[in-house]
Amino acid sequence: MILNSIKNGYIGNKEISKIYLGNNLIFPALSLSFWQFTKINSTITGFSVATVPSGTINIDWGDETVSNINSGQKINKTYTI
Amino acid sequence: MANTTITIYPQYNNNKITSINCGTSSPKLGGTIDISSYPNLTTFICIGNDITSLSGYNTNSNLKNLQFGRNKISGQIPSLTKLNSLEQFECHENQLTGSIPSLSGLNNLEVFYCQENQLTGSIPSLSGLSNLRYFSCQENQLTGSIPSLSANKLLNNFQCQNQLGTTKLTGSIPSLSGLIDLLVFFCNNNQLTGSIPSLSKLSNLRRFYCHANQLTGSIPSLSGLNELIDFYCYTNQLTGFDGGSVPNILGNFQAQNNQLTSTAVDAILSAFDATTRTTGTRILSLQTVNSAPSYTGGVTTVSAGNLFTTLGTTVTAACNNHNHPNGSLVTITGLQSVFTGTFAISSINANQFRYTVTTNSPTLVTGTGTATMRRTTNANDGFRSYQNLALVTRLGGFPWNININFP
Repeated sequence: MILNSIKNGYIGNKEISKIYLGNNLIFPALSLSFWQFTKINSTITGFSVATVPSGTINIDWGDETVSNINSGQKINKTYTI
Repeated sequence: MANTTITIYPQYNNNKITSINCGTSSPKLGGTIDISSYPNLTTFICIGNDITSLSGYNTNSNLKNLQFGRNKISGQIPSLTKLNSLEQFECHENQLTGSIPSLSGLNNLEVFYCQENQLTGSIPSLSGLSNLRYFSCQENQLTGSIPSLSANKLLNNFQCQNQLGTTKLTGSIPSLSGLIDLLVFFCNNNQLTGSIPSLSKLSNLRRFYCHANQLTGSIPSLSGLNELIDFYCYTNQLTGFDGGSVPNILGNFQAQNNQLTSTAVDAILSAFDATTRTTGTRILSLQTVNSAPSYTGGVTTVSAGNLFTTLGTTVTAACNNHNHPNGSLVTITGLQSVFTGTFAISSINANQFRYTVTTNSPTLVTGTGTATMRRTTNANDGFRSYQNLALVTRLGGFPWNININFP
């Protein structure tokens, strides 16, 4: 979590561009959006992400749930908390 | 109100995220989106949510497709000059203010939709956008003139109409010569002056709306526009008709509330008479300069020609009399002694009245029928017309003439 707050980290005179924990990219944080919703059971329909080359993508929905989808796969999400 | 943050990352390190589609939400989700963490994005789509801010895209030279219409995004559209891969930009139906940024250098741009925002200033130059197919900026608060479209040879659809806004475009309609792929051109409800440009050789044109402007001169020839189904030029200051034939497919021709001479109207009616349309509904709306704009009595000849050339054709009776002929009869008379009948108005309210068709010529008409005449209301048009939605059905196969009079 601390790493996520780094904006200009250096090792010697080399600026850190990415940090991985295992296979997971943890810096920079790839936050997409800050959603606001007013009702429990708010749903998102048809969310999709694609990569090149195609592979799998993790989506952290911000409610302590993570979805793992294939490139281009559409997924629906319901926030229950 | 609950808040959460969505984070996306590829499971494999060497994968690059190239496309994100936020889908739709119910109830609509608000919040903000920043896509600056995805420098390899080529497509970002977030349509029909309640997003209030989208940032981090104006330096991404890989971005080809950016669609965030129908949200609640406010503020200005940032400079797009670094988006030199951009093909599609859609920001319609938000709350954007400021001007449309320069599109210069966006040589790959095919689609630009910014309609229904609160944008001000003028339409930027579209020169150099040789791949532009769709441009829509209608229902903003734009001023100035329509730019030259001569470089946009692939243009399919251009819309700058402004029915709702108080500020309007001025100047003339630019030349449309050479835009052979043009399907739709809407510039209605502005303050455009000058003449309607030649439409010749626009053989794919399907809809042309230039009504509610201040255009002068003649209605151009529609010869050869074999795909044209709608032509609206009403509420201008047009006086003539350049002649020629009208397309058989033309279903809506509305030219009322101009200053058309009887010669021009005769030529238009003659052109319609000559068509061989065999199916469907046709609405033809015309007035001569002799039709008093404050019509209160007497006879307004709506048409004098063979309007019912085909089965099922209908005619629009344009009339500036806001107080329609209460309770009086509308007489329909066949000039070739093949039809005489009356419309007896049976009920009246503020916006419509019903009448019953009766006739002594059952060989031509199916018999007693019912139709609705509706007063169309559009405060921005500054006129009213009675639109005949379903007149009579003709059974005979030979031409006949008809007048509709409002005594």
